[in-house]
Amino acid sequence: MKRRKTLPYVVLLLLPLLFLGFEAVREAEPFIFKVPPGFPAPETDPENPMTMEGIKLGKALFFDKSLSKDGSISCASCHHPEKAFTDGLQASVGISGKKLPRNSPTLFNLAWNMNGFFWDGGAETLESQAYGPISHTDEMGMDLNSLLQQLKTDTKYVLAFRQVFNDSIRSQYIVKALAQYQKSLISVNSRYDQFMQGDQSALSGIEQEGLILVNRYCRSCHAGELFTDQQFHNNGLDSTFSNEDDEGVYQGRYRITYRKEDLGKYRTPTLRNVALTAPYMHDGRYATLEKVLEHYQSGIRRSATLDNQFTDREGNTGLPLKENEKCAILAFLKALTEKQLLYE
Amino acid sequence: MKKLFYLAAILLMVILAAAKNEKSLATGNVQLLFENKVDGIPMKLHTGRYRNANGDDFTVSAFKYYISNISFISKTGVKVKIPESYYLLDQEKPGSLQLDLSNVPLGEYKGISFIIGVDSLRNLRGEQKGALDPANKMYWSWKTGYIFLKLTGESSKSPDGKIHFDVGGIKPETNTIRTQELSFSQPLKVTGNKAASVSINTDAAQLFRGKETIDFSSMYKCMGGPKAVKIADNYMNGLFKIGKIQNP
Repeated sequence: MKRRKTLPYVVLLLLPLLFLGFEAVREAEPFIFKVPPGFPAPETDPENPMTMEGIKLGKALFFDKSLSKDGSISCASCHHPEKAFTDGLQASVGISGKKLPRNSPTLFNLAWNMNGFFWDGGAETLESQAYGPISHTDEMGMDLNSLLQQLKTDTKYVLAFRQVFNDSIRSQYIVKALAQYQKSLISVNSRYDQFMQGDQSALSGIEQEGLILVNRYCRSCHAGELFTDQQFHNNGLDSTFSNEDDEGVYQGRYRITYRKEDLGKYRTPTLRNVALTAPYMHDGRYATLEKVLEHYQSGIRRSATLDNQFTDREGNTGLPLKENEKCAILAFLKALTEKQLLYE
Repeated sequence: MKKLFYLAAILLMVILAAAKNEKSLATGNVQLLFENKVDGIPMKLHTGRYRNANGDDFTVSAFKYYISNISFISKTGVKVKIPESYYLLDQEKPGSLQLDLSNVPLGEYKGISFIIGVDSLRNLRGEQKGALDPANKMYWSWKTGYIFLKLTGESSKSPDGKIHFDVGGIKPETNTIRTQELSFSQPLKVTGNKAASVSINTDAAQLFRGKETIDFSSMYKCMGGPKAVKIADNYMNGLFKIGKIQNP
């Protein structure tokens, strides 16, 4: 009789404990992806579901200079938000001070990225890509074991990793968090987008002319709303690819596939925010967009793998662009800049 | 009401018993004891001096390789897979050369099969912990995937004085996943008691002979690709030799 009466009180007493426990293992809040009009729904990765807390953790890691061996650079050092996540350099420079063989690529709209990361598509996932810059001796030069030890001494990180991955810190969680942050960077609100959504005043007359020209001359590769076909092309930058140095870094996609037909092919970069991402090409050889247009007009070099879109029926290369057309194209490309991204 | 309760209780017991039965597939312990050699001589990092089949001198500064997807082959030829079996063997860490398998179903086995390397799925997806943690430095940073086997060292024949062979890759043209199937000299008996053990000798000299004799003056490094395929095709036959079988 007596026992029965005390039971409800015991339960009442224990009830707050239940909430305490609930608070401690509170699940991370799922990130709801708002698919912009005209865009496909991005593929979600069941092995790395995006959460608000995961993105926050990834952002903290992205801007943390202690991820490099000498504490001098973070991911953001070569991927500045205000330069659409590039660095303005011809070739990026890491802790060793040695010029890297590649121009820093943009990092937005990666949630839709398919067909690999890096200019040659060598990394098959955004997660596995991150191991590259972190551990490469000429980039951040960090030993993963040291990084793990270091992060584990920081209570903020320990708690954040626990909340996002329900586990202690592991290599894989570092790259997963970084991937979540990068996949949350979206650029779909330029004046071009506003124009496409019906705001006729969003593009000036010359910009609208530029859009027509870009559609005619550029969109077979810079395709779709992402302004990239996510494929690999040889756009006539070089005539030979016989330099096998540095593990084939000058041979394009061939370095990954070892197929002869992939020699000199690199991934099509997006044209979105292109006005912010100078210099251009995988090795940053062109300082300005004017130089890029000159290349397509008169600088195409022939080789066995040159994309056949660059040669006409008579075998001539180059786009027949008039000066005023080049101006219109340049004007339009600037309308692909998203101001908001700067403040991300 | 009471009858229903008893019925439910009995049903529950039956279900529990069945579940337990399924789980209680008894297992025992097996030790795989690897020893790395070069042409029959125990490998000594840095100080050991060796010659490849081409007569080129070389030393070894690192020798590491993955063994994964281990199966034991029963007397009737059935492959009994050991789940989640991924091991990184590193000459520098003697402990890593002894593989303790604790979940081998009881029985008698006539052989073993495993992948030298990591299956293609796990190169791209899945948990990366333990042997598969990229912190072990057997994960490529410039293309996704594991280095299956690494041998580095020096050779006076090499143009830059060094040899560096990273074998790996899962793309169809340059796939270096190689499965080994090895017969035991006598049946391996896995009982519930003490661990049985299998001694396996790994002969690094096999990297450089077989299908194609490797000349260090022309081929002294690889990072996957067609050259790595040559090495993998070489070691595909003869990298491992089963030694003593010790039954409890």
